[in-house]
Amino acid sequence: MPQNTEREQWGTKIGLILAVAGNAVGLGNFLRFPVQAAQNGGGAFMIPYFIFFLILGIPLMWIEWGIGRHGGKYRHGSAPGMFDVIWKHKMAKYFGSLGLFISMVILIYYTYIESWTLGFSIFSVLGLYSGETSETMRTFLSSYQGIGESAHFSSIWPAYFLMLLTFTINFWILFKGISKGIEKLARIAMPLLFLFAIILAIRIVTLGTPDPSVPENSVANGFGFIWNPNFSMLGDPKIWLAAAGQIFFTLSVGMGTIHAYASYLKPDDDIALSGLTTASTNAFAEVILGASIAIPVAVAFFGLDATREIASGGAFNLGFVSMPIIFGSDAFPMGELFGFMWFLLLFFAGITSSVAMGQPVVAFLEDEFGMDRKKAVATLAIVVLVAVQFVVFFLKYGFLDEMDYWAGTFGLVVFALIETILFMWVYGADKAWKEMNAGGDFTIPKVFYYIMKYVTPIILMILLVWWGVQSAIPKLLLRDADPANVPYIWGARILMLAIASGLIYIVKKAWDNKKSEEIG
Amino acid sequence: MGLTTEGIIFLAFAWGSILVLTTYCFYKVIKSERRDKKRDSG
Repeated sequence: MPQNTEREQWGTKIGLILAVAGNAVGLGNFLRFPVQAAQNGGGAFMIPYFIFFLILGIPLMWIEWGIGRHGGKYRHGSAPGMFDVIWKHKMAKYFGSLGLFISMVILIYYTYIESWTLGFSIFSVLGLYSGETSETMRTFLSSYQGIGESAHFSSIWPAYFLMLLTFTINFWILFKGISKGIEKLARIAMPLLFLFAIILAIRIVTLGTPDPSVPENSVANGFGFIWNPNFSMLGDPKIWLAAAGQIFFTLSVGMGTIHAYASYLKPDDDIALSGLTTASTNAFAEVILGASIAIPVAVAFFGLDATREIASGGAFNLGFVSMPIIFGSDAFPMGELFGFMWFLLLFFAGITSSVAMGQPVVAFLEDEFGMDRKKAVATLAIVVLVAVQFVVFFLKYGFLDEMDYWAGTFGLVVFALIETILFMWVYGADKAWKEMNAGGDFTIPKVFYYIMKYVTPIILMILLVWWGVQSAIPKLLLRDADPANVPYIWGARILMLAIASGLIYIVKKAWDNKKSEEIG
Repeated sequence: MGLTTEGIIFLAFAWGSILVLTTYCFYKVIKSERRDKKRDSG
C-alpha cells in the first residue's frame, strides 16, 4: 500500500522547479556548452542539440520525475526503493544503488571544484589576480591547488580551508531539509545566478572591440565563432554524439538526484509541466546566457586562434585561467566586480547542484533506515569528508579525473539506460505514461510515448557503446595514463569500489531489516 | 568575420525557441500555482 505520511514536502511549485533547475544548471552550462558549440559546427550544432533535447533530454526528465514521484508514494526517496517498487525482483534495489553511488561519488569531488569558484570570487574582490598573464595565471591556479608554489600561494591550505567552508555550507543546507534548506537556497541562488549572468552578458556584448588596434578581436567575432554554422560538419557522427552528450550532461539526468527531489511531491502534483520547465530553464541558462559570456569575451581579448586553443584546453582552462586574465586586465573596467559576479554565479550553479547530489543518500538513510535527518546528514558528511581528502591531496595524479570519468560520465549513461528500460519496459510503458501524466498541468504529446519507449533507450545504448569503445576500454586498461599516476588511479578505483560495496551492503541490510520487521 | 546572416538566423532561431518555451512554461506554472492557492484558500 502506498504510504505518504510525515514526509517532507516542497513549499511551492516554483521552489521545486528552481531547485531541480538548480540541480541541472551547473558549471557545464557556462563553460562546457560554448566550447562544444564552437568546436562542433557552430550554429549547425544547434540542429542536433535541439533534436536531442526533444528525444533524449526532455523524455529523460519526465522519466526521472515519474519514477521519483511514484517512489515517493511508497515512502522511497532514493533509487533502490524506487526500482524495487517498479520491478518486483530481488535485484532491483541493487540496480538502484547505482543512483546512490553516482550522486555520492560526484558530490565528493564536485564540492572541491565548487570551492574553487568560491575562492576565486573572493580573490576577485581582493584583486589578487590583477594583471596576470596566461603563464602566471596557470601558476596561480596550480599553486592554489597545491601543485607547486607562486607569489600568492605557498601551500594547499587556503584551498583546503575553502573546501571545508563549502563543505560546511552544503551540509548545513542539507541539514535544514527540503523546504527550509534546499528550496530556500534555490529561491535565493537561482534568481541571483540569472541576474549576474544577464549583467555579465550585457557587459560583454557592449564591450565591442577592447583593443581598437586589433579590430578582429571583437565580441562580434566571438558570437560568430559560436553561431556561424558549418553545415559540412553535420555529416560527421561525432557532432551528433557530442550534441547528445551535451544534452545528457547538462540536464543532470542519470544520477538519482531528480528522483530524490520528485519523491517529495504529492501523488497528484504535476510533473509534466514541471519537468519541461526545468529543461527549458536549463537551456535558457546554457544557450542564451552561457554562450554569451566566456567564449565571446575570450575572442575579444585573445583572438580566434588563441580562443580555439583555450577551448581545446577544456572548460577549467577557460573558466579558471582565461576568465581571470580578462577580468584582471586593465581593458576590462571594474573587472574585480565582474570577476566576483562570474565566480559567484559559478558557485551558485555549483552549490544548487551539489546539495542535490547529497539528497539521495540522505533520503535513503531516512526512508529505509528510519534515521532522523540530522543523523542521516551527519553520516553522509563523515563519509564525504574522509573521501574528499584523497581528491584534494591527490588532484595532480588524476584522482579526480578517474572518479569523474566512471561516476560522472560513464556511470550516468549506464544508470539512465537502466532506469529507462525499467520504467518503460519492465514497469510498462502504459503504466509509466499514466504516471507521468497524472495530475499534469498539460498532457504530454502522445509522440513522446513512442520516443520514451523506443528512441531514448536506443540513443542511450548507442552512446554507451560509442563511449565504451572510444574511451571506457582504453581508460580501464590505463592506455594513456601517465605511469606516475597509475598507483593513484588504482587508489581512486579502490575508493569507488569501497563506496559501491558499502552502499550495496547497506541496501541489503535495509531490506533484511524490513523483512525481519515484517516477520516479527 | 563577425556574425554572418546564417549565424544570425541560427542565433535567432535558438534564442527564440528557448525564450518562447521558457516563457510559456513559467506562465503556465505561475497560473497553476495561483489556481492551486485559490483552491486551497477557498
